[in-house]
Amino acid sequence: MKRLNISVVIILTILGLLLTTSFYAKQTGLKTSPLSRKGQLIKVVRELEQKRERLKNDLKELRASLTEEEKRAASERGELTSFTKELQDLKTEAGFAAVNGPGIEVTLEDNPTVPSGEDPNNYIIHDYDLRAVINALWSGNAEAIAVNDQRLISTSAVRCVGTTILANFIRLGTPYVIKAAGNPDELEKSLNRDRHASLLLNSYAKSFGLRVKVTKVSGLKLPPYEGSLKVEYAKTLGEQ
Amino acid sequence: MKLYLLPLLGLLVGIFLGFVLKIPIPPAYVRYLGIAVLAALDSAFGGLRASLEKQFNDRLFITGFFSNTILAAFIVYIGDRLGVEELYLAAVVAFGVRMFQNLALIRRSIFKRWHWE
Repeated sequence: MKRLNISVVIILTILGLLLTTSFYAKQTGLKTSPLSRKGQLIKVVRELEQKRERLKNDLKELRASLTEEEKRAASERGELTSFTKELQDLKTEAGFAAVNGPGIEVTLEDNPTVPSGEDPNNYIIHDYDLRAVINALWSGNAEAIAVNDQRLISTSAVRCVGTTILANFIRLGTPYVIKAAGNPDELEKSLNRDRHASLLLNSYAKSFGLRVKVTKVSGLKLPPYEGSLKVEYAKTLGEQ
Repeated sequence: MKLYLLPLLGLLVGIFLGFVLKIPIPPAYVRYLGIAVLAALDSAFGGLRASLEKQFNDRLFITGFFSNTILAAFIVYIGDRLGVEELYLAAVVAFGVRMFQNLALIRRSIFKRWHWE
């Protein structure tokens, strides 16, 4: 017992340090566990989406008042009328005005029941499926296209992030409704002519039970693009 | 009596330091630390028992403390490397059983010392 010296004291100090450190390690380990981190991330995404909705509504109001101002200016001064008309046409072409007219509606829906042992990937609609249909519709001279009421403009992208499809950075869900304004016959022909689109709409739909519907509509309504369009890097060149 | 208190004081100082420093441990190493703490606790109980049985050897205690701790963490590491994550159970069982044994012996020594038998 007499040999109990300072080293033993040091060792026990280390033991105490180890004990409390591991106690805290367990605590922080729980805090940063993947599960709670996932919850936090989901919360962040929800908050940001809500914020985006608010901003989108603001933008919508501002755009509406802008159009109002333009109209008033046109009625006040005669020479502006033709410019306003041109502006409206350009807005329609660019996808910033709601349009209606004849066209085609393509509905794509996942097969809700996947036979056991089969790859579930074959039974759902993918981003590339949507792109195939959209591209076929554009090549059929579609004048305006909207996916689940997301109007596609020149900078729109339909892409896949994780397990969801985004269009204009908005999440889409099955069923996917693609509305395209244009000549319905021409659009349908184009869908059949396009290799990917026709494969999807005819053979894949049958073999994998995807719910696919193509209907010609006489009075389609397409909403305007509601996102922002901030041109930050691209500079306009003078007319040459 | 003072000789008893000094290591105890060390333990308290260590615990206090741990509370104050709050050394962050990456989650991947928490398991290693846990096993190492178990080994260290085992050594401490072993030392207490030895001192009660008047067989305490400080060199044996110090080397045992460090070798047990390092070996325990090493076993976890080897288990992870081999894909046998359960290998750490071997360390847990070994140290657990020894700790209970030591505790029983400590109890017995105390009984003997205070003539409670």
